Amino acid sequence: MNVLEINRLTKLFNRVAALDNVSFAVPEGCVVGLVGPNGAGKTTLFSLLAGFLQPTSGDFQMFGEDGVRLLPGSGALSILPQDARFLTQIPILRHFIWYARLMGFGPVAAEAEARRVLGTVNLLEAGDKQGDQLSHGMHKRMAIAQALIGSAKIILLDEPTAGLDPAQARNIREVVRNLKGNQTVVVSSHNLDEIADICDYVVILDKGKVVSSGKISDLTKQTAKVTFSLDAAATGEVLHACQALPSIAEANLSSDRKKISCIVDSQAIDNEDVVTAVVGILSANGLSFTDIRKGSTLEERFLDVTDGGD
Amino acid sequence: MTGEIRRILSFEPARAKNNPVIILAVVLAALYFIVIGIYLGRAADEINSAFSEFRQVAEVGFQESDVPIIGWLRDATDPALQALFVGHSPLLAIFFWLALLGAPWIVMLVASDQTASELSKRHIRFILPRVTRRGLFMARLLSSWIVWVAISSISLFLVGIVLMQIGDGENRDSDYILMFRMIWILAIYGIPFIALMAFINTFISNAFLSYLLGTGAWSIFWVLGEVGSWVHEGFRFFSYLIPTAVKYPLLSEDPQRFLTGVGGVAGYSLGFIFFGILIFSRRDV
Repeated sequence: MNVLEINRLTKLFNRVAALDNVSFAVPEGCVVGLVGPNGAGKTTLFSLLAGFLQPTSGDFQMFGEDGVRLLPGSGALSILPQDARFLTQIPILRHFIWYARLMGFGPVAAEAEARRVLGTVNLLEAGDKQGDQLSHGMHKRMAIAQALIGSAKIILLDEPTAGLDPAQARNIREVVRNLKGNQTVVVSSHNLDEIADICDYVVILDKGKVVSSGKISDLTKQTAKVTFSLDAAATGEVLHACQALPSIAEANLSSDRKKISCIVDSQAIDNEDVVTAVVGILSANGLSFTDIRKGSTLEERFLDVTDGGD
Repeated sequence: MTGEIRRILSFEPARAKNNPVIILAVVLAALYFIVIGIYLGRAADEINSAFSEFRQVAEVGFQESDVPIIGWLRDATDPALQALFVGHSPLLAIFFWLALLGAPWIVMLVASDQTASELSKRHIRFILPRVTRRGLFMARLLSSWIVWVAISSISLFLVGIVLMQIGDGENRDSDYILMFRMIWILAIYGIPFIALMAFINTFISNAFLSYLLGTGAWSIFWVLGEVGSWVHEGFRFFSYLIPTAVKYPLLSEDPQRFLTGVGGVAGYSLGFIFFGILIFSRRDV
């Protein structure tokens, strides 16, 4: 069942499309990664879903209901906004108790919930700090914690690990993993390894449009691609020889000429003869390979479908 | 929505006591009331002797005096204002009149940061998934009104009590009644100004700029209405675009005129609230 269905969502700023007819669905209980270059529209999409921005056209359904109408005050969705700040001179714990009260918790339960989410991000002892006393990393983790109050069914996390040190980032990834199954999480990040690590699905945005989406395993399988990592730079002759092989539709060299990617006819992907033939060409030219990979990483897939691959 | 407003209001004491704009408003309001209280206290003898000669001011009008404030009063011809001096301590009556005149400046400052700083700091993005925009708008309006009522009633009461001691009011009971009447007149009179600032806050994300716009617009319409009417009576129309128009009707003891004032308060307030919610519920934050 899809908890979130986005239909042709468009947002114009001064007649420029930040989002252009974006459509995709988010299945219940999974973690979805939202990736794209800077300015691709990720934050705009989150802001539309959270009700901060009004769509120019299109709509979205949450739990089968109109998201714009369901959203306000329902507590069905929570978000880590990228640029929101806590109020200065008021302890964070006081903020959190209030947020919990707004979601219907009684006074005692609200304090317990506030302490629970602070503990989740290992900041229980920092609850007395005021909004203007937090370091960047601490503020980010506090902002993540507020999104966990009340166990919203859909949680949007806009770049949750940006600016965190490795240990803190790992803690946050663990938090997200633990949410899987009970809550649906949409995470945006520039860290594609992180997305590949914690997400089940990925949506790639570029210039406001969805350029690719699906299960990460499907996107990276790319059965028609074999990549050889070489021990030295290959020459043009090697490339031409590979391109001349009958089952190879296309062959490309990386910019440092130490990787050769062959797009193979899909029927031939499991045919070891193709690999043997390429290895033969490499060996004839005094090269050997250090790694062979069938399919592509998420990063390669990302670069393929966005301008980053130019 | 009532429960939602109550929950939003539960955070207001913490927000208000840490909000520099609200603290500034409280201090300035207290200063304003105290300063005019001190001024009137020092001029008490002259004011009392001036008024002892014309107790029935509504019939004979205000007389000339060396005290500047009484000079200003001579130009105030509204019968509701003149009636304020009948049977009450003149010190108290003048104090309430000045409180009424200064109220818009103070109440607009009190109400200038309903959502402005939260919009600029984007703290509102932590709140909006949990509340409706309408609920937030109404709660902040109500919160500003509560602060205004607290400031104005405490100030009026404390300074009023002191002035009653040094005034020469003949009827103390009547002065007490007047004081409590003034407290709730000021409470009502503040509502449309608070609604005006709530409306302005929906499109200006800065408390100080909101205050400048509110007081600026109010001043311009006031000047157009008052000064313009010297040129042509048609300019008087501009006076009715700002809530100041309800000031003397609210003060009136004539029930019909008083109800006109209450209707005016409701009209201005509902108008600002309607357009405020309209903009706030549609704007990007």
